Parts: sequence; C-alpha cells; structure tokens
Amino acid sequence: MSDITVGNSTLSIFIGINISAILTLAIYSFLYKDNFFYKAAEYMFVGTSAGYLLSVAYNNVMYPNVFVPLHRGVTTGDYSEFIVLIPTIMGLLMLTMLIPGLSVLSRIPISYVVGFGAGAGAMAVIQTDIVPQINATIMPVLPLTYANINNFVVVAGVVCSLIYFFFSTEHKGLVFGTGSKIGIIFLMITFGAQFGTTIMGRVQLLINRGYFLLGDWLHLIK
Amino acid sequence: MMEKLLMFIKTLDRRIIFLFIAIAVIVTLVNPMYLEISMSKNAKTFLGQLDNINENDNVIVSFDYAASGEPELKPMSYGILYRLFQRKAKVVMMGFWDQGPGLADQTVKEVIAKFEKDHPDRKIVYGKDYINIGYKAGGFTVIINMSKAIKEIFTTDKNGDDIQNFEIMNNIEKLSDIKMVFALTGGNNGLLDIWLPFASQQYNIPVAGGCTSVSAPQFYQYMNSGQLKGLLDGFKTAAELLKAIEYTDFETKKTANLLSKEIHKIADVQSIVHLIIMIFIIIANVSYLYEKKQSNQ
Repeated sequence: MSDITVGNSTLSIFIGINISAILTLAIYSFLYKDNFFYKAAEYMFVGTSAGYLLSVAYNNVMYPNVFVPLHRGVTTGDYSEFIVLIPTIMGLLMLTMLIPGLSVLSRIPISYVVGFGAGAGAMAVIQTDIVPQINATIMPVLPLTYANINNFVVVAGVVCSLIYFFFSTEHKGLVFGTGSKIGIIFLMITFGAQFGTTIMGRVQLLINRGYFLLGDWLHLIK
Repeated sequence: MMEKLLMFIKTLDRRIIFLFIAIAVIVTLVNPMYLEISMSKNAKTFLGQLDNINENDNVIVSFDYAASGEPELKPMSYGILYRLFQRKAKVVMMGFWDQGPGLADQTVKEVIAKFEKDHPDRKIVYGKDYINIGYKAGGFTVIINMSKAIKEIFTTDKNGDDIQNFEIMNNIEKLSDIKMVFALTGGNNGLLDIWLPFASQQYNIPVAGGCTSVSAPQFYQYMNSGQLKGLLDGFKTAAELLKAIEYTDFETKKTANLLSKEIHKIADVQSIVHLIIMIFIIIANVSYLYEKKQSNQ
C-alpha cells in the first residue's frame, strides 16, 4: 500500500517532523521560564528513553545472550549452553538490592564486577594514562628552538599544576609560592579552553535544532 | 552614566542573551555568508591517516554516539566513510552505544547515494564493501574477545543475518586483521575508555577518532603523545575534513569537495554565534573590572 503524501512528504514524515518541531519548541520554552509544555516534553523524553533502553537491553543483551542459548540447550540437549545461567543469576542477584532482607546478596555480583573491572582496567590505565603520558612529558627544553619552547611550556605547565595540588607544604617561596601561582594560570587557561569547547558543542546542538525548525519544518532555508 | 550602564549589564536578563543568540542563528541560517574555512593541523593529520588505508584493508568505524552527538559527529562519519570507499577499504561498522549502529545505517545510506552518483563506475555492496555488525554491550570485554575471535562475539550482523555469510568477513578473524579503527565518540564508552586503552595500547591497532567539542580537551594529550593517530575535535574540524576530501564531479568533470552548502551554513552560524558570545564575555569582564576598580577607590 502506498503511503499518503502531504506536499512533498509522506504522511508519516509529515507527522514526525511536526511532532519533533513541537517537542523542540516545548523544550526551548524553558529558556523563558519553567512551564507545562516543557514539563510534558521532559516527562515524555524520560518515559520514551526508559522504554527504548529496556527494549534495547532485551533485544541486544537478554534475548541473544540468555534466551537463545537456553532455548538451544533445551532443544539440542547440549547442557553446556546452560552456563549462561551463572551470569544470569549474578544479574538477578543485583536486583536483591531492592529487597531489604536479601540485599546482602547483591554484593556478590558487585564484587565480581568491581574486581574484574579493576583487574582488567589497571593494566590499561598504566599503558594508556601513566607510562605514555609521563614519557610524553619528558622532553628536551634546550637548545632554544621553537619546538623546545613549546616543550618548555608543556613541562612548566605540568610541574606548576602539580605544585598547586601539593598540599603537604605551605605555598611560599620561589618553588612552591611562585610555582603554584603559575600553576593557577595554567589551570585557568585549561578551564577556559574547556568552557570554550563546551559552548562550541552546545551551540552546535542549538544550530542543528535551528536548522531543523527553519529548514525541515518551515522551509525557510533555501 | 557609566554606573547606569554597569547596573544595566549586571542586571541584564539572561533571556536577552538567548534572544540575541536565537536572532543570530535565524538570520545567519536564512542569509548565509559562506565564510572561508581554513584547514587545521588536526584535519590534515586525520586525512593523512585515511589516505594511509589501501585497497582491501579492513577498517572498523565505530559509531559510539547517540542522536544528541549527531550534529557534530555525523559530518565526521560522512567524510570518513566517503574517503574509505574512495580508498576501496573494507569497512566494518559497529557501536558501543545502542543507537550508534542505527545512525550508522542512516549515514552510510546517504554516503553511498552520494558516492555512487559521483563514481558511477563503482557500486558499494553490503556484505562485500561494508557491513554493520551492530551494537554490543560489554565495553572493553568486547575488545578483549574481538582480539581472539570477532565472529564468536558478533555472530550476526545488525539485521540478524549470520555473519559467516558475508564475503567481507572472510578475511576478518580477529582484531589483528583490522588495519585501523576510526571511533566516533559522544562521551564515555567509546574512544577514550575502550578503543584507545584496549585496541590501541594493548593490541597495537592504530586508533584515530572524532569527538564532540565538549569532550575535546580530554583527547589532546593523547594526540600530543602519539597514542591517538588522528583527532577530529568537533564540528569545525569535521567541516575542514569535508572540505579537504575531493572528488571529480561526474557531470561537470571538475574537482569538487564534500563540504555541502548545509554544512557551510552551519559553520557560518557557529562563527557568528561564537562572536556574539565573545562580545558578551568581553562586556561582562569589562564591567567586572570597572566595578572592582570603583570598589578599590
């Protein structure tokens, strides 16, 4: 059956675009002040997100990893498939957190997850964040070339920022006093850069919605 | 006079600033200026990495973002996929975010339509030139398992078809068969905490990626240390990459680039809105310094 058309769009696209536009405006109405339309759109977003995530968890995790192997085990008689019951039971034990008398059982899967995460993650952190980053900070600062000046800024930035967070001694004198003050400057520049990139990202989202409203919805953009 | 102005700025309703931003967005989108887009070092490096990919090289493009990351990350994925098809690479798309593979399908559809229009002699075939193996929960454990046997952890593609049936998977057994990973990340669960520490640092697969500008400062250190082979840090670099990717237009036989008018308009708006924000920041700082000076006197 062919889809009904409205102008150049099919009816489903037409309805979708209008609902999207109305919800976008409802969310942006919060910029003026909190109101019913914003609240309605917010609750709708939370509800649909929760429903969507539940279906994703079922279709991508529970169904292929639990129900399919169990069904295969039952139909073929291959009992090795029932090994999935171990992680399934561990997962269910997480829910005992909600039952006051049994909540202690939730510690079993939590300790497993934390232990596994720490064990597997420790090596990754050392290999990614500690050794290569220290290595990248040990750089020549002499003779005075453009590259070495850049290196000096990196080294000075790291050392002075670390001094700022060294609280075992009073920040006085040339090393700790001046060092921590320079450290603050580096930190402020870092926060400024982060603020700038945050603005950039948020503005991009706004522009995208603006493009949608003016282009796809109102057809004002040629 | 100055006191009045100072008081006006101090008590300025934030909604007036929002109004200025909204007007700037509307006016610039409706009347674009097509400002010049220059090429940054990051975009050049990234293009270099794409050009290191040769015919039949297997690459992973990981879509680790949701709809909220699309405004910045879709132009990147568009450029990356187009260039990889130009390089005749074998592209495996996947995602550590549940929405990622769905967004990948939408993007690749648009890329193929454009690519086949620009290259009528080439046909991009699903299962031969590219595949979408879908979303997989589990984060870094997925990478650990991929290092042993990809087909055991991804038994089907996104549509539920047996992965063994696709020609592209004949030469891909484990992660070491992948020449490079391009990971586009909208936050946690992606480039920084999965691909970089595990695929790159533990299994030595070169990793390049793209991120939203909000999270960009977290990534620069890995570019400086050489751990990341390339970084597209937000929409601006994505626009630069699109501008740098060239092809010969089939109809006009002239060299063209991927930077569409739509992306160029959005880049314009970004520049103008940033300018307005900067003006407000300067005004606020001047008023703050003036007030401080007055209170000292």
